[in-house]
Amino acid sequence: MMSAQEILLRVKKNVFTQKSAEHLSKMRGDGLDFCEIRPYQAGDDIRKINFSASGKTGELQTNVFNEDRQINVVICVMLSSSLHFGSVRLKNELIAEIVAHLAYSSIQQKNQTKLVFFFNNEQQVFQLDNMGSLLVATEALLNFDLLKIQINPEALSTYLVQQAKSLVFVIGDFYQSIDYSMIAHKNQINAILVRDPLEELPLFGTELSLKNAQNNSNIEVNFDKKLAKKYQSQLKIEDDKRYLHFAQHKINVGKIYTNDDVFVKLSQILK
Amino acid sequence: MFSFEYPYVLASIIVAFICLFFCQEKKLSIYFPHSEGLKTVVKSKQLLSNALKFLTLSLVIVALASPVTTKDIILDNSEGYEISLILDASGSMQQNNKFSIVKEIVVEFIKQRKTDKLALSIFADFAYTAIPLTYDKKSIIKILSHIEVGVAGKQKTALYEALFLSSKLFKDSQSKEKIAILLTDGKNNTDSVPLEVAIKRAKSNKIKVYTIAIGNARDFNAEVLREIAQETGAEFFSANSAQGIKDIYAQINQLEKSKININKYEKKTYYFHYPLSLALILLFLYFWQRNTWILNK
Repeated sequence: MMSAQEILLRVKKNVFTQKSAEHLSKMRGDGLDFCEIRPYQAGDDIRKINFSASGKTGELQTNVFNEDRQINVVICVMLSSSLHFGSVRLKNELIAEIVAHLAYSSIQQKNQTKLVFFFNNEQQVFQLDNMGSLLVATEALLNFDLLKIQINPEALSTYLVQQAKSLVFVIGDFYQSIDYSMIAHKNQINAILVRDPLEELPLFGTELSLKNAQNNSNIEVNFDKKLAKKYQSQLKIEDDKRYLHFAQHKINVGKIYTNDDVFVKLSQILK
Repeated sequence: MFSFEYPYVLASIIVAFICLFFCQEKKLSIYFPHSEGLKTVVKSKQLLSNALKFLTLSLVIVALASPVTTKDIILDNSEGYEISLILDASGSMQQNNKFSIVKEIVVEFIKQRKTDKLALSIFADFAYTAIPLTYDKKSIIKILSHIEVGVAGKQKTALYEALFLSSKLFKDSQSKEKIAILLTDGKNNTDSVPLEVAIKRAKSNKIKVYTIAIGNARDFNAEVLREIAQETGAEFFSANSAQGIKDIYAQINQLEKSKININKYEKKTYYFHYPLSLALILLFLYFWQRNTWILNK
């Protein structure tokens, strides 16, 4: 298992050497990054009226810019006992690396960055201002005792509703359905599914006693190829339902496996 | 007759059933996410696996209990007894339900003579052989149940003729022990066969004639019956009650005890290989559905 410092070193190396890690907000606001020209609407800033375009069209047109002011970044980690699994590395270690990448990039851009752990009915909030606070948060995540922890699906909505408009990253294995309809219209949400290849296609090829880390219940399973495929297809049906929900609420979604390169995958998901 | 050689082994099936739930092998245990979702997928497979396991074990236990069919075979009957039962079915036997009581006692006697050949003769106005010497006890009992007073008339008692006729049954007999048990409640009142001839015939065939007189002593001729018995080397008995008759037959049964099992064999056919073969097939099925590493490639 990598230590928090090792993770941060890797993150620094990736973010420094790859310029593409720079983040641009898709939110409309008072930035200098030109987005579009549209007809003037009541309440628009009169300083942004594009007179040249207005002259050509015969009606008032105004410039619209992307927001580039300091934005709020909230990284939400949905902690559950199911994260205590991994064939290449543990899923919570992968989450720590994802969080470190996102948070480091955000800190570099001087954004207001928060990291929130959601577990049971509690939340643990880390205000990330510098590398020191990121190191503390990464260590906390790596050392978190995940056994007997369960997700409270409503906690995320309740929390984000109370927050200012933010760029939100929700990270977890998403085995429990969460309703994003309440928060998706206000925030720009990115959902990152963290999975292990072996949990989606459990080709153990032997008889195992599977323990539920949440309640310690056991189930005897003989994992053959047929059963693994059957489970995989059932999981795919469940995931497809989740993707549909994400699509309905314009949520950007991506899946990262424990054997993936986090930086490359994050770049693909967030481009 | 179908039976198990070791029936107590079958009790292990209960142990096997209990073990199916409580003596499971310790498997490698791991934490697995979303194991709840797996439950629906594996449920039917686990049921099949358990059923196959239990059936295989049960069949092995059944095979271990050794199912057999047993058939009695008598290879050499020269050591066994040949017994002729001679019953009086004259009208007087109807009194006090004597004939029915005698029939019940005789049936019990027949059942006890497992390794002997038996014959049944009836006499009244005339004597006739109901069934010749045979090992088929079931047939003798069946025929006896159908015989009622009057089948050979009701008026007379052809006792000597019955003895003579019964002696003829042993004409070609190889057996060393030949016995006749003559039961009557009256006196001979026909002249078809003289007493001397009947006794002579019995003696020449080396038949021991046990004579049993039942009922009132005035009705039967004890002297003649005793003479028949003594001349042939047997004994004379008389009784005036059902228990008395029963005791006489029990006594004769003891006096003429067969050497049971000397020439009697039990032919056993074993069937353990059938459940064992079936268990083997189920075992292959169990491995197949478990998808062992060979089949899983």
